[in-house]
Parts: sequence; C-alpha cells; structure tokens
Amino acid sequence: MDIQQHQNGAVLTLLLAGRLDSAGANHLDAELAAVVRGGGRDLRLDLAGVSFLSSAGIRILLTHYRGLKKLNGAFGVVNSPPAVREVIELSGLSILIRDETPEPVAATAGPAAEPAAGGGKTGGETANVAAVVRTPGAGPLRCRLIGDPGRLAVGRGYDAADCRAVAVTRETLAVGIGAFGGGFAECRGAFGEFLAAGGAAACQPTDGGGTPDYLLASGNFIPEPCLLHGVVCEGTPGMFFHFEPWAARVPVPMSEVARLCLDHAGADSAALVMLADTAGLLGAALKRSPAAGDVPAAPLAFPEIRQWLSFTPERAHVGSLALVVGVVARATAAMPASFFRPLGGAAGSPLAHLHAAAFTFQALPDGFRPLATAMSGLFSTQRLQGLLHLIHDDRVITGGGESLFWRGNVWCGPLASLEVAL
Amino acid sequence: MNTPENKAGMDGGPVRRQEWRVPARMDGLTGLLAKVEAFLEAAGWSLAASHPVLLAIEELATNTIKYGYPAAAGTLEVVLAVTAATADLTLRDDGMPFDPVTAPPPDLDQPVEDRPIGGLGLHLVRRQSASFVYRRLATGHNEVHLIFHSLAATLKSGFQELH
Repeated sequence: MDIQQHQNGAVLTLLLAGRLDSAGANHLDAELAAVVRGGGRDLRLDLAGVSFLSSAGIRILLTHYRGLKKLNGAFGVVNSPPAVREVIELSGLSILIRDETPEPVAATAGPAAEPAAGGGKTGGETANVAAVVRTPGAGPLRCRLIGDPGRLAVGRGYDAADCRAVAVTRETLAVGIGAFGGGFAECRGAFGEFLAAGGAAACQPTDGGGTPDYLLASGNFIPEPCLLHGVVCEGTPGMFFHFEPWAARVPVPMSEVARLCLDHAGADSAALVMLADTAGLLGAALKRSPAAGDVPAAPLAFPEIRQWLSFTPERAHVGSLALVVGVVARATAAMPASFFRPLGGAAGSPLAHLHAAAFTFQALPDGFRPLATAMSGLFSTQRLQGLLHLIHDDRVITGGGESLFWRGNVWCGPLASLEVAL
Repeated sequence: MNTPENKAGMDGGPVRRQEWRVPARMDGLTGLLAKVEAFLEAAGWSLAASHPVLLAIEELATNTIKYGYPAAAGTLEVVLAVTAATADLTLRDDGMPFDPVTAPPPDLDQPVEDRPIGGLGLHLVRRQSASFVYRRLATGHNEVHLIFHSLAATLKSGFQELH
C-alpha cells in the first residue's frame, strides 16, 4: 500500500494505491493515527488507486471515522472504483462516501437485476427459443389429481387411507406432498415437498435435519413414494426447447416459460420439466408434516403458519441449477383452484402447480437430451440443496414477484386429460 | 468438481481451472491473492468482476487462519474453475470445524458510531456470491463452495462509470 498526502486548504487528502487487505489495512491504520496525532482533523481518502478492499480495510475506515467524529473532525472517502464502492455500501458505510458527483441512479439495483415487468408479456417478448425438438409418436400426457391440498389449510388429520403410493417410472411426472417410506406409519412424520420426473423422485423430509432425499428408478427398481396430495402425469413430454433471455441480462420469468410451453404444445394445459440456470426462486416449503399427530385446527392461519411453512422472503438459490416440474395452464382453462394458482400478478397470467429442486450449479448443455438421461445425470453429479413449491409473491416487486431464470431446457407436452381421484 | 479443463462452459467458452495450496498463515495469503487475481485476469475477468471472488478468499482464509488453528499449523487449498461468465470456487482447510454460511449476520441498522465490527467479512461474502455452501468432509476438512457470476458486476461497474 502506497500512501501520499495532499493538503488543500483545511482538507488533507491521502492518495492510496494498492490493496486494502489485512496487510494494507495495518499500514493505513498506522498512517492515519500519525496524521491525527499531528493535528489532522478534516481527512479524505482518495481510493482511485485501490484495487481491493476487504473487511479488514473497512474496519480501519470505521475506526477512524468514529475517532475523528469524537474530535469534531471529518473523515470520508472519494473516487472509489465500483468494486470498492460496492464493498463500502454493502458494509452499511455509504455515509463515508463524499463524492461531489450525484449518486448513480441504478447503482444499487443495477440493470442486470431489473427484468422487464412480468405479467403482461406475450410469448417471445422476454425469451428467445432455440433447439426445438419434437419426439415422434409421443402423445399427450394422462394426468390425475390426488387428494386435496385444501386440507392443509383446515388441518384435518390424515390417516392411512390418505397415503397413496405412486410408482415413479421414467414416464412419470409428479408434484405434491410426499415422503419415501413403506406406508403411512413410516411416512407420517416426514411428509414434505415432492417432485418426480424422468425416473427420479425427490423429497424434502420434514423430520430430521431437513436434508432433501432422492431415489432413481433403475433396472427393476421403481421408487414408490407415498403422496398425501399431488398432480401425477404419465407419458413422455414430446416437445423440447431451449430458451435464453431475448434482451441481454433480462431474466425470463416463470410465467413466460409457461406461455412458451403452452404455445409449443399447442394446448390449454401442459406438463413441463425444466432445467434452468436460476436468477432466483420464490417459493414456500412445508416445515412440518401435516400428517404428524399434533396438527392444530388451522395450521396455515397466522401465526401458526410460521411453524408450518417457510417462505423465501427474497429470491433464493440464485445461481443454482433448478429442476422445475409440474403442470401449467392458460388462465382461461378450467383447472381446480385448490391445485392451480396464477403464476404472476397480471390478469391472464398462466395457472400452475410447480415444484422446484435446487442443485449445485452445472453448465447446462443447450441441445436435446432424453429426459431420463438428463435426470440421471443431474441427480448423480449435482448435489440437491432443497425443494420448494413455486409461488407468486406480490411483496417482491422486481420481476413481478416471480421466479426468474437465465436460460433453460424445457421438456413439455399437452395434457390429454385431468382426472380427479379423491 | 464437474468442470474439467477445456470442457465448454455454460457460455460456450472454455473452463479454466487452477488449484493452489498454501500454508495457513497470513504471510501466505497475500501471495495467493496475487496469483488468483492474475489467473482471473488471464481468464478475461474485469477487476470489478474479480473483486468478490478475491474478497471471499481473503475473508474466509483470514477467518480460518485466525481461528481454525489454535495449536497446529495447517494447509489451505483453493480450487477455482472459471468460464467467461461464472467462477466456481472451493476452499478447503484442515482446521477446526466452522460453518461460515450460518454464522450470524452483523446488525447494520445500528448507528455507525456504536456498531460492533465483527461478522462483516462473512456478510460481504454472503451478499456478493450467487451460491455459498459449507460442508464438513469425512476427511476432517472444512469445505466451502461458492459461485460467482461475472456479468452483473461488470455491467454494474460499466453503468457507474458512464455516470
């Protein structure tokens, strides 16, 4: 760290060059202490030549700001390079920044974090689609609804009859509340967010440490998780496409992916599996099993809801690879409201029931792979970090309160039927 | 690590990968940071984009060196795999178990005059990384895995410089 002094009237400016890391911070600390002992009271640090600032440097800035304030002096920084300025701002020390130039308008949000307002877009406005592949002979998917999600809110106890075993083959695509286990007695304390696609099934158990769990179909082994309620589809999604943001650095909201999917499937409702580089997921996850013995009368009412559901207060799993599974439908489609909710806040926003599993990041190939190949590769190489039920959250303003994605691969297909199996 | 050298990254460009091992001492850290900085520069990362990566190494390694080795000396291991868009950073040490991900955040709402100073380094790492995951390995190592994206930082700095 090289330090030069420059006196201009009453103001003494220290021109710093080098790194304000632990070593640089010690050097600066000694220099500032000497200046203050010598009578310096109105001090500025010119950081134009500083290439690195860590918390060790911040500690020195804070110490001398406080010291000079007690001495009725003044202390500030000027000409910070952007990366250095960001560290100062994230440390809650914007008060130290004394540049005369006005604040940059979007310095904190940044253009990259500002997607186009979600909701009212039509297909193709926020995303470019490429590599469309149609699997010949793949028909529409048969889909059934199991149980009743509305029972979560009223807190009616569940019993063994509510535990439906669902065989997860490579042709199964499912979301719901489920658990791995040999029956109701084994599962009842563990029911949580569940999804399945391409022969892989994943659960977020609500007992124990909250580590998500998964099973892969292989050879003669077919996972048979138990579901309290869910959407279960059978068939091969016949459509594949890859999407990227249409405008540079504007992530694609989930409702846009749903529209692309419905347009490509040429249908009012479709099943979808997506693998995408996420710009943030908004969702909720059950924290306690609704089938455990101690369910209160209305667990999803305030304040009990805090013990039962965890919400992501802002977008989570940024930079993860997300696996999103579920069913989407146009706003005009007749879909049971207890299972399907609007994806965005705008009128006409598609309806959906989608669960997401977040994995450690892996570069996404943009060409077609069979779904089962993609799933076995994903589960065997990347670590599963958590499962969420995706929600629209109108408290989150940027991006229309939706989950956002940078680029993704989507397998989808129209629904042939929607049976209700209560 | 799922990013062997020369494999195409998510942006279509190559993945560059490098490992460093240094003694867990403060005097080893400055040289390490200079090497990582040169590596990121060679990979085409701007200073603004590299800063959060370097900051994470400095903050986490400083913590480990200060608190992880009350008795014996140890070794820090740094593995970095970068494309033009993404940096995948793994830090390993053989010190005492410590999970930086769940360490309590500092209270930045207090007035600057009487705010305690601790916890700030990890707060910065948390805020500037896209992913921040800790695990204790069966081998007795702490492993921290972080992901950074270059574009947001580069764009933000370009935007600020325009003003």
